[in-house]
Amino acid sequence: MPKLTIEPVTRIEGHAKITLIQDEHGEVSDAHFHVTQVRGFEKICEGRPFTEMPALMARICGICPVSHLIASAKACDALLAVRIPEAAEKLRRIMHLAQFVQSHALSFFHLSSPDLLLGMDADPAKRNILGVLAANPAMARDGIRLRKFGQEIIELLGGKRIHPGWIVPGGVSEPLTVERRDKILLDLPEAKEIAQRTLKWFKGTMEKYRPEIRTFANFPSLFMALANPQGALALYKGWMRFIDADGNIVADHIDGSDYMHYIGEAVQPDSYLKSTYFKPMGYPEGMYRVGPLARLNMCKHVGTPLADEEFAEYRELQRNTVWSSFYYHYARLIELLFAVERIELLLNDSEILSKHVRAFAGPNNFEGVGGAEAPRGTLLHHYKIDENGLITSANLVIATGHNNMAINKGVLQVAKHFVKGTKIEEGMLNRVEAVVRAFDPCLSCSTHAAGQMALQIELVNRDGELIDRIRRN
Amino acid sequence: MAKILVIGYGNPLRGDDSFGHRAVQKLREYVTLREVEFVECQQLMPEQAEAVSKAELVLFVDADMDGVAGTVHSRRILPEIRKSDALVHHLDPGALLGLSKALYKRTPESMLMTVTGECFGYGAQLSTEVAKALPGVVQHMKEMIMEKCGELTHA
Repeated sequence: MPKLTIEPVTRIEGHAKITLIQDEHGEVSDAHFHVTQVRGFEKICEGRPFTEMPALMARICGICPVSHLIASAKACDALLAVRIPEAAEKLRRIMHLAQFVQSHALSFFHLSSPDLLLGMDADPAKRNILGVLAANPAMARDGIRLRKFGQEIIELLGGKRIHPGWIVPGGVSEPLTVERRDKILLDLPEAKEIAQRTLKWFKGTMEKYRPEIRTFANFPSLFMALANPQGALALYKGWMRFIDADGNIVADHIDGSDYMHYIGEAVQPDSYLKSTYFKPMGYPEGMYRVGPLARLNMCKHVGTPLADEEFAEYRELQRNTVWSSFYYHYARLIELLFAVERIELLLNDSEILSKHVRAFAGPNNFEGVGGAEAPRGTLLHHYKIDENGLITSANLVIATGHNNMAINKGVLQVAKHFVKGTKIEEGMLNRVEAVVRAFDPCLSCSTHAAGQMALQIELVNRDGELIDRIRRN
Repeated sequence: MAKILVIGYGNPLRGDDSFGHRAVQKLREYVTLREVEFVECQQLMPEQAEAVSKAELVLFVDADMDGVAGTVHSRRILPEIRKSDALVHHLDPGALLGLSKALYKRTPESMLMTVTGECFGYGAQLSTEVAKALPGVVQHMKEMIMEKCGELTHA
């Protein structure tokens, strides 16, 4: 059986490879996305005081440390059994949204725009951020400006851009000053303009990608995201909800502490990335998707004026729910605009400069679960402690794990469409990678592994015989 | 007056790797000109390209691992174009200048000063030889600022 391996998968966060299996007619019959790194944060934190968790867990990722800070701090809030001050919640939300801005900007401008601007079949030597720089320097500058905007907010609030320790159990460690608030507000109009013009550019270019829209993980599935009573985009707070491919609610009002009754975690022999599934439907039927696509499928409106206008247009793509994972990019950009608008609203909130930003308590519960939407999807931290406040067990349910089965299915769909015969063309290789990139997986987060991703595609025949291999370092 | 950007970078919790931070902190004690901007960071990133492009002189300060501990190296940096992967997470001074040139069409005069470290383990202290090199590096930067601005503090 011919087997084709792509290794490493480039322009994603982490290390992975893809194996494609061909049948006797040279048609791709199966595909596997393997994650080849492991980190083990769940084990590392055992025996540590729970108060160390937010700062420790933030080290999981250099791109979305704030998501881990927030999920971890919320789990610790649950251990303390405190209700954090309102100003603290709003400040946490601002940092969380700032991270959405910088992470989504990284995903779109640095990792995916080379494909979208230069084309899937462009010379791989030019299909990178430098190629973007040469072809459209204004877009490259926009990407850098937007990412800087998000990172500077994180730095202004948390003291540093990466791994800030400002979010703590019970709230945040310091209130916001007038000077810092005004500095963020000063840069806000430009960020909003960039988000709007990038959306306009993306919508204008979508027509060129009809084949990719049709084949990039474009299938019915369940979707999971946080939901709130307003039916708006819920990023910081809400209950978990599952909907089906037609938008019907299949499970609702799921509290974070009850996740294990709805989410199962399957382990594959060839990957360090767990595959989560909707437990009531079992494995693998319970495949679902999370992240920007799922979140926009879940909400009735986004919740800010400009983003709501864009959302109304977006929902015209498909009745009830949007299926093609190519539209993750589109949804990501709408979320980005929402984040900028929402930051502005929160900064102008009358309570935002309050000095009361932290609640203090000792541990009052032996178990706590904290959850939030990370840029890539729903993130849960679940801790158990002993009577001394030391962690006895930790479980992290990460966005990329939720999407793992859909990524595999998406790779298969793309490969079936684009991979023909025993010779691998560069454009085919890139499309297989690009469908993975659409999900914006973060393997450092999801497997607790370090380093950058490398990719290999292997083409194997039905007897396991290697036909062709492309390896990328 | 010339705009000068001083960037000290490295991990402040990894012994001699904190040298860039320590040099910037010391230099701040002597230089109070508005035209001199100080930055301390863990690593160089693409987002700094704009600030670099607006400077007339950029002084990078770091620790390195080449040679005998405490040895000071100083060299002019020229812009370099790198493969894209290197532009996502962190950069070296040449790549940052290359990005400044490509994005903003400006390449400021730039110097990199490094001191060879010997201990990069956990801790916030400099090793003896590296600590001894600190005053010399700070003095060298003061002289370069003096040369550009004619003063270190506003009269």
